[in-house]
Amino acid sequence: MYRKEYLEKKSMFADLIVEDMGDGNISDSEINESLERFENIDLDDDLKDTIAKKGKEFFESGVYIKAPAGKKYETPFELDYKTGSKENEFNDNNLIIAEKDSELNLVVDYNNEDYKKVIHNGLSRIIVKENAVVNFIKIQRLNDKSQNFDLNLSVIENDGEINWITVELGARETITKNINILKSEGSKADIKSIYFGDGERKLDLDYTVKHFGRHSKSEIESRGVLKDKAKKIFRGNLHFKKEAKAADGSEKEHILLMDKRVESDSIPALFTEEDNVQGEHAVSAGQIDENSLFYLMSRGFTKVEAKKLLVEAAFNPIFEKIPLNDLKGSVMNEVKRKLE
Amino acid sequence: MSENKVDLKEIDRSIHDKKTDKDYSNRAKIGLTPKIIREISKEKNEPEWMTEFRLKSLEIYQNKPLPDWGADISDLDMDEILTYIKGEGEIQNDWEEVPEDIKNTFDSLGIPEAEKESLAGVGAQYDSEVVYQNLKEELVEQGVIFMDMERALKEHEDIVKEHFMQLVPPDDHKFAALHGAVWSGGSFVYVPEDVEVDIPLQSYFRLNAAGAGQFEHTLIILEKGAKAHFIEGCSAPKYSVNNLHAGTVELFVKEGAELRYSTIENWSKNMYNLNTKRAIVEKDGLIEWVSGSFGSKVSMLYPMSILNGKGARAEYTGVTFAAEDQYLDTGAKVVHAAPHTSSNINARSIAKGGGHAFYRGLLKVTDSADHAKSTVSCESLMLDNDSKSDTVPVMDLNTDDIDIGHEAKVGRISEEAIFYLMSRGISEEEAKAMIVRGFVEPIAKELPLEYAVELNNLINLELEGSIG
Amino acid sequence: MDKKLLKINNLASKVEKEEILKGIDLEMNKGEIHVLMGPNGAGKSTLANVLMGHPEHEITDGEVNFEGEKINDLAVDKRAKKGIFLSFQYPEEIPGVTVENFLRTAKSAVTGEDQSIFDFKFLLEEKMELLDIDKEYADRYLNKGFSGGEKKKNEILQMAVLDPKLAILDETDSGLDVDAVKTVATGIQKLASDENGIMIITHHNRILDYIDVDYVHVIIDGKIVKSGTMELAKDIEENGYEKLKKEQEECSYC
Repeated sequence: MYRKEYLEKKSMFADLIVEDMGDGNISDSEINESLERFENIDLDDDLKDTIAKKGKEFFESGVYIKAPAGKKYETPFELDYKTGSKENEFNDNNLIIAEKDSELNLVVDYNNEDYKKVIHNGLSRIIVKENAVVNFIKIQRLNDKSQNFDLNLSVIENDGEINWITVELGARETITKNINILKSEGSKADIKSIYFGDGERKLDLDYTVKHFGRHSKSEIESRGVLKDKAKKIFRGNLHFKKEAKAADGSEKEHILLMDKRVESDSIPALFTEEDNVQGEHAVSAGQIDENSLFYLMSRGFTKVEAKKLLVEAAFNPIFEKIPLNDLKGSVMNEVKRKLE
Repeated sequence: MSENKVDLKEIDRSIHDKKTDKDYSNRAKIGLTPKIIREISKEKNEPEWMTEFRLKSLEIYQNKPLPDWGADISDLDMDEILTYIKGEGEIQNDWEEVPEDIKNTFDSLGIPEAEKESLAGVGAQYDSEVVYQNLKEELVEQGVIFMDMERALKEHEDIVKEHFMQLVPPDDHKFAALHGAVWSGGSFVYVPEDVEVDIPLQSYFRLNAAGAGQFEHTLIILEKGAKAHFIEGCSAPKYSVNNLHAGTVELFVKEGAELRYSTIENWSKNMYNLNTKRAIVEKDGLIEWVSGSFGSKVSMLYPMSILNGKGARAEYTGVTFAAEDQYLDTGAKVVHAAPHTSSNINARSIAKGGGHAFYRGLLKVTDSADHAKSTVSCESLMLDNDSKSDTVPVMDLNTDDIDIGHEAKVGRISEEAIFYLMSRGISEEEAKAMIVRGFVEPIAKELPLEYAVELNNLINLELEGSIG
Repeated sequence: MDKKLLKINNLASKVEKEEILKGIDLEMNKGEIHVLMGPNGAGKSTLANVLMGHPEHEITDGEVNFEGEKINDLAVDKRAKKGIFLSFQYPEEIPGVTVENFLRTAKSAVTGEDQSIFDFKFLLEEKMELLDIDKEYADRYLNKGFSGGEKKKNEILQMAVLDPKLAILDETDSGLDVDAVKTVATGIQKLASDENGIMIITHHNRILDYIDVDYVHVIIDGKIVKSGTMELAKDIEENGYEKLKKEQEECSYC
């Protein structure tokens, strides 16, 4: 198993519990106990059905990771995935648990180098317990023939924190949902998302945060570039449930439109049942700023070079946060290539 | 003691709920059949094409399903709505000749006096018929037409036929179809080229019978370079039977024309307000919506602006106040369908006492709308913990050379702001009222004085003794 | 018996879970100008907020007496009506309410008498001239879009209009340029009389150059560690708070 060898080499992951989902090494009761935390979550019925279905069908693939209480793993752990019995399909059903006071850094890079069409169907469930921190980076850069359907569901408890960086660069069609339940007091969620739509790509991105706990805090920041005939729907859903006193949530989407033929839909929604909250959202969309273009060109950059630079500048604040340098470099190069 | 309470008689809620003791049982026609539609049309003496139009609409209405989103209108029993009630007299041209009890009803509502110099004319609707009209001479000389819709159908048939329900066709949705079948009364305004009407044109209408539906049709046409301000304000008494308001407003703003359309919707709390308002703006034209939504049990109101010509503009400033047992689903829709168009939406909402305010907006930029510019700002104030406030704006952009910005905020009155005002001797209730009035001020300042006053009074009424 | 304007006994307070004031003793008479100085976080603004009755601050011990009456539990607006005024360090923006309307409402609230529009306008213009404030501010929304300095000046304008018995000025000099400090300080001096008391909370001393100060108190870590006259203020200006802090730490029975 790739993972076990990896673990043996890296002593820094000693104590980290990592098992294949379908291995039989984790008792069903352990899994069920964790999954119970996802019961009674306020989700739409069809979403619940999808999760139940995916959970059952893809039980053989994916990884179970548990960071024991008090253990902090600063080095990012790279998740693996494998193709299933159907050759052009790969599914991962991940269950990640960060016990009290632990810290976990995870990275996954959905990438297929050959030019075969692939369908990725993913489900990741994450539990962040009291005062724990999970930093999760998901990169999606499947080839233009492939499809990506990814569902992420996290439950965050007292003073726990989840920090996402999601980068959507590939697939002919990607439908991603990222749902975060801030269940208890002081819980936090931070999502930084980058997307790049080009060619005839279609993107449907859903970022949802539901504030249940007092003093819960969230921030969603999404930066995207659309060119050629790409189509995108961004759904930002910020819910403030009753009794989420002193909760504070914000969502921002900034879109760079680089072609007449693109289609950009944004639905930043706010649902509030509690008066003692602060909620805000903002969307801005437009072309590259003329003044900035002019400035760069006056310093010798061609228009194309200047545009490339400005797009990179828009993405960099988020790219900077990717810890693995090789990964960061390769992702940035991919963006540069697409801008050509 | 507070400066903000103006020296007019206190308008208290119960006045609006005043019911006159009239017997409607033998006048209204219940239910909808082609026969009834024909009767309605015959009584109004309408041209053949309108009768056909009504019948066609009835057919569409019967085949269309109720919308499956938005408010819960299951309480509304369509067959029981009394669709048509004939008013008591012929259309009056002079206030003196208006029937007494009708005059009393208007008086008790504290309506600004119809005969004041500053008003150009009033078309007041009473139970589906226009009762009173008075048009000042100068306007008539300038060629401005302001009359009730039914008279306009006869005297200006061509213009009406050209525009009637072209902007909101009967197949648009179920209530548009209903409207097409049973519409009655409303205002017709026509302003010729380059004429500027300085004084606001006002229209007051009222629903009085139990279960009566209000289906007035307002049609306003501004020719090239024309300017006008139209104010629609309304109120209705409270009844145990559900009341329905499914009027339609169609505004045609031609090249370079400017129209301001102001409304204070203040229906009593058992009304279902499902009005459809739409404007189409040609080259360099401007539509300004100023809107205050109070009252009604359920409201679904989305004034829509279609920017159809280069340089066309739309502005929307509105406040929605949802109190106990109210579900107010409102929003602004703008479609940018031409180059260099711009829009500005400033929507505010207040929710209290279990009320539910829902902002549902649409900003659509088509692929022929290059250089489109739009800013949308939604702010929601929650006054207590029982209420709900939702904001679901949709931005649908189909080209790249545009500049779009949208922001929304939700929260409650800041503790710090209350402390600051209280530290100046202002009581907690008055501090909250001040802040709420300040919140609503961008809308109030766009309205003529009497309406701003009514707005403030409505706010005070809503806030009295029930904050926090 | 001569009732003191303000008498604070052993005042302790906390905000959320943190203790800030740890036993403040202070007395003020009518006609006096006191200065409260101290390093950041010492509790100067907290004292100001507690005196005004800020809901987030809870009195855990001691008493505040205003003109012989204990006001620990008195509501904020009632305190204003008794004649206590706080010039805020960070004045709130209240969009939609003009300065003039706001002040007329406040004046009615504090005096209990309706203000005639005409008379009030006259009063307001008079005070604006006194403080060298442009008349056009009367029609602007309260503090909205005002620079820091403009907000502070507006606070003093409110003080001039409301004519309080006790004015607490929380860092009024911060954010003002040299000329503005002089104008505001001169204005404050003009507003001071035998019938009122002023407590100036300051971080620097600039404002004190233009005002006749009677007493100076230094607050460190929630307690008044030393009281004196302008000499004390000058000493702090030259030597900072270090010496006093040290003395405070070393002295176990202070």
